[in-house]
Amino acid sequence: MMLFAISKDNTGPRVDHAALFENLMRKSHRQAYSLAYRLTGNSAEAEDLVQESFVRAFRFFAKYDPAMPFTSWLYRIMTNAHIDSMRRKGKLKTMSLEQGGADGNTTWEVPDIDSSPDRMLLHDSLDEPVQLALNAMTPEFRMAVLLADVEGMAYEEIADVMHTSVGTVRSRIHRGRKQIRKHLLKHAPQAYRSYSDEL
Amino acid sequence: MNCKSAQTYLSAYLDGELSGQESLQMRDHLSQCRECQVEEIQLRTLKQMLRGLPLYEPTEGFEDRLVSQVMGAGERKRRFTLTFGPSLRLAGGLAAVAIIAGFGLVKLTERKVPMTRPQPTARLDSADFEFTRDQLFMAGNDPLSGNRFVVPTSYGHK
Repeated sequence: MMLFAISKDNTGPRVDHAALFENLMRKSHRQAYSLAYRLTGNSAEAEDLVQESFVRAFRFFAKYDPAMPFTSWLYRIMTNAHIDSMRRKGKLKTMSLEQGGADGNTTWEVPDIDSSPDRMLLHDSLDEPVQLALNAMTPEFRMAVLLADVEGMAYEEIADVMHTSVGTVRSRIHRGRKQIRKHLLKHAPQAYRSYSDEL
Repeated sequence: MNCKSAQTYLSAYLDGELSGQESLQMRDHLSQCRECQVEEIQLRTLKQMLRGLPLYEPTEGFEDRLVSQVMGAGERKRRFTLTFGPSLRLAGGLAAVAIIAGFGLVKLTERKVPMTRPQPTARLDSADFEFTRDQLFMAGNDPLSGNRFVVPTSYGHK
């Protein structure tokens, strides 16, 4: 009797709830995948990250505030999922995020992704060096730069997604861009300079 | 605005994230500082490059796989909760009641454990030893017969 009562109370709204979520997921999964690819650097991990993010989002969908764009809410979840994943795999550096040279010239070791099965997907021009530069950054810097430059989000929105202050976002974006530029000048100077000359 | 402040706020300036006053100060500084102008051009170029990065597409069939896995995971969790949730709560409640009742019962029926070793209730001249003595006699182990006589230790002391 008790089982029936619970089932009856939850079936109606749940169906709409699930259908609404599925609709949002179908609309946003491509964009989420592209961001996840930039965050992880390969297709397999990107798919895993997208799936994990949507599973978490579905679990907490009842708490979703429609005043916030769904993708922003999803990216917030994805940020946490990505950091959790890197922590599990031991890829996350234990250095403080704001640590490093005050001039933003902190250098990070570049991981070797030559063995990645998705390497062929990367272009020979600047796409590969940029992805390598992104891979070399801490997840917080990488996320801030990607949300600003690839997703075109405002600093306040990024701060909301990343649960931090606008000042921290501004610092991460600025220092993140300088790290990318430094990496490109070191590892792909010709491609970078020829791109700059074209502009 | 000096060069240090200008370079710290350049990215925010390029992103249109400075206030009107700060933007005017930045523009004023850039018009006078060649070094910051170069920095501004380089960061602008980089920003344009990042904005032009191609979007990656998921593999064939990813959307359906994703929907199936995500909704399937949610449905499994929901079904488990609906099916076993009340039962698990009920079982948990019953188990707790049983444990408390059992504990109470043990407390009620528990006896005081004697602190000293219990003394044997049989006395040496009790019926048991009388019987043993008779058995020995019947078996021919009579001390007067000269046969080997086995005397129980306790009886011997008697």
